[in-house]
Amino acid sequence: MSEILSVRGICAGYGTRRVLEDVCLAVGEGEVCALLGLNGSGKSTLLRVLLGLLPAQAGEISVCGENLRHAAPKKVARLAAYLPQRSRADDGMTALEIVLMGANAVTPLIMPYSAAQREKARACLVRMGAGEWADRRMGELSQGQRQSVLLARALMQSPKLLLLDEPDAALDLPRRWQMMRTVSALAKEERCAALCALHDASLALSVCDSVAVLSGGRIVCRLNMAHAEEAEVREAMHALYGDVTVIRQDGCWAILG
Amino acid sequence: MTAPKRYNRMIFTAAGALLLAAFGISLLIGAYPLTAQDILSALSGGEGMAVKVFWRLRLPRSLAAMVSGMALGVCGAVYQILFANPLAAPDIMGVSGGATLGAAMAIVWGNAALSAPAAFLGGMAALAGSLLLTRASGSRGTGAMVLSGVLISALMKMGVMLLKTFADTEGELAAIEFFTMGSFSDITASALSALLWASALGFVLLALLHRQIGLLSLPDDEAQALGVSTGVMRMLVLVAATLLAAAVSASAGVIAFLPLLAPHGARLLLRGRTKGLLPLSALTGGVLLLLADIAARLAPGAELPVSVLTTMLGVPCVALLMAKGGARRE
Repeated sequence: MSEILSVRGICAGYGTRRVLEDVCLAVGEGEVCALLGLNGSGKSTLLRVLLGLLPAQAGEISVCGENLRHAAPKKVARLAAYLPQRSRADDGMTALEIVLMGANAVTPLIMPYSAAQREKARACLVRMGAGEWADRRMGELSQGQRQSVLLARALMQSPKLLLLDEPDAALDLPRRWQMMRTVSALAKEERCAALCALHDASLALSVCDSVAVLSGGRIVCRLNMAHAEEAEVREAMHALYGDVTVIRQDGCWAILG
Repeated sequence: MTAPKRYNRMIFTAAGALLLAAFGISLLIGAYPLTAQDILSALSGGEGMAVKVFWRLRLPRSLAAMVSGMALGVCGAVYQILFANPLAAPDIMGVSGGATLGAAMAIVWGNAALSAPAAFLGGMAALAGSLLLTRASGSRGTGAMVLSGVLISALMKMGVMLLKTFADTEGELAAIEFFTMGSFSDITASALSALLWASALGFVLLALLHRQIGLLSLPDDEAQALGVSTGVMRMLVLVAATLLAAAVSASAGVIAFLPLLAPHGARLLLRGRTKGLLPLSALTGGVLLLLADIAARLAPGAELPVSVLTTMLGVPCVALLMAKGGARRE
């Protein structure tokens, strides 16, 4: 499995407050890596740094060998796609218009989107099972449907790296699992890497290929779910949440507080 | 053709026809009423009093009202999209306050003939001040921008108050008051041509950046992750939109509420869809301002300032909007 995202020695923070301290992380092709951590552990900050929204104070970020630190937004957008917790897009835009935005980074500034791009946008919506909503307004769609539209937009960017910031936050239980399984399948089909900040440890352990535990601004533990021993997982969960019960059943995990 | 597309085409045709009709009526009505025959004779190179009225007064006035309405409509739509706020308007960046201060400075200190360029510079300077203040606050968010606009507006208002105390009560005070109420009755050829050029520049810039304006309706982090250099682009679009408002202020004074009203009219017609909002706001803005200017001329006795009419229409509409917005949030 070839390496796509490589993060070495990243330090970042807000003002004088350091949030990330020497973060190192590698995610490979087709791999979905869950980022677990308590509130304030720096999950969102790490995603913001990778997207260039917050400058790193030190360290290196590369995607497919291309340096992403100090890169212009356009270059970042060609390599990495971002899925926010929930979209705050204009309610009056149609799903198709939102998906087309994914082509912005490869379209010259003053040019309109091409017919081919419109075709591709429709195809992306269809792949996400959202084909029928192409001409609906975002305001008419449910949170789950909106998330599918945003995922279609990420797909439209043909990214090498998919960054997801708690994409499950606004979804109900069955949709959460469905959403993460879709992300997992997409990463394999598109041969890209995905890094996904999650709150739900059961979901992370059960659906993602690997787990990175962020604590005190550092990656303190890395699990490869294909080979992870039960003891290993238990130890990681104890380190993260303290005294919790870890249950394994039918290849799925449940963490009980 | 899909149903929304067909509907959009119908709306645009209707709004365009309405604009032409309002423009035609505007050519006929005034202290010296014209007939359709007078206009035909003017267009075919005739002579006489009616023809003079057409070329010197009625055509410039009608053109100025139409283009101003279109410019303010587009400007308002861009502000609403950029600030993701249905009540955003160039006034929140202090633009009309700056224009008034510029005009007042020209009237009191210099030459009243310079009030148009001074108003334009004042409006753009107010925008620059608001943007600098926003940047100094270290935040690029909407909140900081609005607060900067409020501060700059207050500063401009204070300047106007000071100038008013120095102004002579005969002519200058009246001229300042006249400016703040807006009117197309005294539009000159040079003011009209400046308005046309500046609006054309603003329209072209915004048309070229059309795609980016849609992206800027997203929160900054989402837009930047899609490859938009949000800081630069936001500034560029804002300057282009404000150019339109400042050009209108310079030629016709402050016209209240139109940048708010026109896009909301367009939104109603588009049934909540955003596609086509900018061009349709131009059409609704043009129609509204032409109608307001016609009504101003029809008033018995003295001609009314056009802002009286736009405010009369604007206040109930915004009140309605607030009530409706409140209900939706429930």
